[in-house]
Amino acid sequence: MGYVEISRRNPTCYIFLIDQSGSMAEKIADDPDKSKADKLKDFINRFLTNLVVSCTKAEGVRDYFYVSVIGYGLNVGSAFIGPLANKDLVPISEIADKPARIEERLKEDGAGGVIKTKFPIWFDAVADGQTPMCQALNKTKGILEGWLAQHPNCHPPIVVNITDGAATDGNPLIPAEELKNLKSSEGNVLLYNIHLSSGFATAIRFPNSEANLPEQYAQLLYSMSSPLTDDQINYANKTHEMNIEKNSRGFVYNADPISVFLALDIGTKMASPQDTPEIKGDTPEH
Amino acid sequence: MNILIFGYRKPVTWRVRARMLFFPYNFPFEIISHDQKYQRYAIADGASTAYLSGLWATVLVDGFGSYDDEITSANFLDLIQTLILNENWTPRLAGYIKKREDEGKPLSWYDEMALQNGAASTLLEISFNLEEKKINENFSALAIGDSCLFQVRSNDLITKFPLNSSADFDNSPLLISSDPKRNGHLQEKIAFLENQSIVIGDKFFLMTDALASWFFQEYEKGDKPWEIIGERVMDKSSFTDWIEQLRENKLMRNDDVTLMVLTIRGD
Repeated sequence: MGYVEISRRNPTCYIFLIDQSGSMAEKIADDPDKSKADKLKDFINRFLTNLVVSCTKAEGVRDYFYVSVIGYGLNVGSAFIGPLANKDLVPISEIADKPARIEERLKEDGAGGVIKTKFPIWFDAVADGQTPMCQALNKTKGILEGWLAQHPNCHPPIVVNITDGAATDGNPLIPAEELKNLKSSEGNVLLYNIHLSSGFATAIRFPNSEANLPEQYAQLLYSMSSPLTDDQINYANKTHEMNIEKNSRGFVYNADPISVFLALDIGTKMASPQDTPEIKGDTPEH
Repeated sequence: MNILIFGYRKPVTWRVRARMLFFPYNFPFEIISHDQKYQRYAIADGASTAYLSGLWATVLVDGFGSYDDEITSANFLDLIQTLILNENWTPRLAGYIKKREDEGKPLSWYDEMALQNGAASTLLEISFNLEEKKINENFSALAIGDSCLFQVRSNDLITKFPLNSSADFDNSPLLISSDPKRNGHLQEKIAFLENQSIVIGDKFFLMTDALASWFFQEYEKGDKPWEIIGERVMDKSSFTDWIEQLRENKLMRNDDVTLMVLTIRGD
């Protein structure tokens, strides 16, 4: 059996931990044009866009999710800019209505041409300071303790840490374990790690062992990551023709983060539109 | 064969929660015209993850339910374009957008993006050929996705369509999209059932996936789920109570339910 459905009556939360340290100004191994911080900016904004759209129904945006984006670099705190600046946990409907700005970008229309598409921005690229990952994990723990007290039966909250690897304020394994020990009645908090590295170009998705990971930091992040459920593995293998093995963990190395989220079907496990039962029907004639 | 019309002047149709839509194309016998070739019934299950899927499911059932010509694997996607998108969806969508503007709530950036992604729905349709206002001895059916049809004769299950067992359900059923670019792969995946026999007394059960999954599981245990349904469709409240009970007891996934029951009767 999978987890409980996510509904407006029983929402869950996403927390993104975003490495904003100085090293994020470096380029990623497979992309000489963009810095890691730029990649991260695009990813978070695109992810939030997709999440908003997936919660959009005819009558508005449904609050299936509450979202937090915590930056860690020069400071540790909310990374939202614009009207949501300094907010820790924001309902998805408010995120929908309060981007800092909306840019226009071109995208392929699938028929050989390009169309203009809107690209909302809640978050800008930042690369400055150290990498206080432990502080960020501890702050997340505080947010989730409050959330779980109010939502004891929610789908386990999902924490996604995106970093280039090297914490500068201690061993992140310890606060990561404390974070994963928090739980709802449905299960423990899920911690996934996405490693953006300047080192090796080859992408690694959802390994089930640290043996073949190319860097020490990758091994550390792997060991911090929650295991994937059988449902997630089956879904990704079937729907996205992946080849994830049993006992794999929620860790990827230099892979496109959007593909990670698609593969895990995160964001779509939502309940039916109506949270309250409705009966309509024709009376049988005999 | 002198089969006249379905057992109930209207088929029994219930839905619990609004995601599943049924639109029984159930014309009283008196208004079936002499040149009408088909009597069709359909249910459609709009995907909760897509935008305006309820409206899309409505349009699919309206369009196919009242279509009075042959539907084949060869013309199905063309019908989606002409009958459904051009004749039904485009004007309904324009009406929706205008209504939003009239209400002072024009589409926002996220409405526009959700609209670009397209609405999505399953479809299950059953067709009876008519001759001189009477039903011929055959029926046919088509399905995209996991809404299921069961035919019961003499208290035995004789037809399961398009799925065959409870193990066939998963979280990603085939769906018809309102974006034609996403439908190319459907051509070879449309399930058709052709020239199936009917006799007086046959019962047809059309249902969406959550209830169909329960139906299969009961049947696989050696039970006769159609008998239980027969007891529960007599009035709205007993149907609702029963569905709620199945959900609470974890015997059925907590999902919307649509059920349609048709019975073949003689003159």
